Amino acid sequence: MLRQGAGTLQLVSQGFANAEQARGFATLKDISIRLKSVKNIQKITKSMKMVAAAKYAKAERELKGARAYGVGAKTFFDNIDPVVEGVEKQESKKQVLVLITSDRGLCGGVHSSIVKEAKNILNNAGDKEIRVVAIGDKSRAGLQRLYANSILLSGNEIGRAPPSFADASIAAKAILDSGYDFETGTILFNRFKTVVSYETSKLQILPLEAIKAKEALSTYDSVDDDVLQSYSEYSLAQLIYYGMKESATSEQSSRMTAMDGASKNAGEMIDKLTLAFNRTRQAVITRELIEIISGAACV
Amino acid sequence: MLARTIQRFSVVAKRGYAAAAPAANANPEELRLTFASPDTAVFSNAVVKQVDVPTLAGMVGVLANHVPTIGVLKPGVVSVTTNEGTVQRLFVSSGTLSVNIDGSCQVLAEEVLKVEEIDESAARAELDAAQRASGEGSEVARAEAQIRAEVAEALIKAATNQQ
Repeated sequence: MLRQGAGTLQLVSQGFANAEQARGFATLKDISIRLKSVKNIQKITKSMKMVAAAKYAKAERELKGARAYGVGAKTFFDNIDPVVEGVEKQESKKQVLVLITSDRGLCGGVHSSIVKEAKNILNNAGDKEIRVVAIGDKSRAGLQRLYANSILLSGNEIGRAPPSFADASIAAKAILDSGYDFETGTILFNRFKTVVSYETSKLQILPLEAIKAKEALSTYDSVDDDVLQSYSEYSLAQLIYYGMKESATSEQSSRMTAMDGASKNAGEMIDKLTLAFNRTRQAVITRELIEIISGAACV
Repeated sequence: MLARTIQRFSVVAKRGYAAAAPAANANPEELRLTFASPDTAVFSNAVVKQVDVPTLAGMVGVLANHVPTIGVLKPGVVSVTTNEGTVQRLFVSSGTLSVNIDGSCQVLAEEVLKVEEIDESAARAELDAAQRASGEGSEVARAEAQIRAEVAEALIKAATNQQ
């Protein structure tokens, strides 16, 4: 659920619990413990990869429909506010930035790339007032330390199940009910390209007042305030939904790749550790033999 | 004078953009329809003959070269006439309609269902439940129940072909 931001930071003191680690030569026991734990980690990452692969397949299937939906929702805004090359858009004073991430990590750089982009925007804000709506724990955690005051809303409980239109409606409603009347808004999300690549993209949102101010709107027929309000509210939800779907697909594909890499790395470590284990075992046997032989020679 | 030059300039710039964008290549004499629900696209930028859409302001029939407009859907049946003349009828619950300056038309619904797939008895049960619920509870709950009843009614109407 979304709740009002301006974080309640909690500090927990951490004792120096990390006791002195065993120094010097690794004994047979140490290596075997290490080996076992790496093997377990590999099992976990492997199964995470399988889960992500299944989720990714589903997300990609759903993205096809969602893309038509999102592009359709965008068309109206492209039409009334066309991007003219070479002409810089006038930046508005009050902006809202919607970051679409999820609660879950271990998925490569999808979340941090969004947070990085947001930090970049907030850094260059100048005299503009930019407030952040952080959807997903990861974006909130990323901005909390430096830009806690900029966070307007933050929400979690997203990422376990694929995002639904209901989730997007909740977010859109929370933004509209927040009482912050922004002039323009931007949705930051990861646009899914292929399994191994995604692109952090922006999606423009315009609130009711900004739509009304557009000149191109006069060419539209039978536009009254009621219709326009419903339309703008609805399209906010539609655009957020589109962003959520793209981000979720990028996240699953990225998690798949990340977990594949982790499994491979664990495999490499297992190989090295097995070699070290065997060598150490051999060394122990040799040493014991030497001890026995030299002991026998003494007698 | 200045305003006019600016206007002319903006038209030229817009043309340039439209030519550059590959998606906006079709000619304005065609009606390009995008009809989608959040997870499925029924039509994706497909050229069709006519679309009839139920909006809050009444039924809107869209042909090629329609004047740009926007609207909010109300529960009812969207019928799409393809260029071959076949008619597809689909039920929508709510959503938006936009006919744009570039000649494209978007019908974006929250739920889309083929009319043949409507379960009439389930719709009737839903209507009963919604009507019962609309008499009690908070104002928000009552309003929600009313919307449910409205959708169920429209579903029954669509299923029994009254529209």
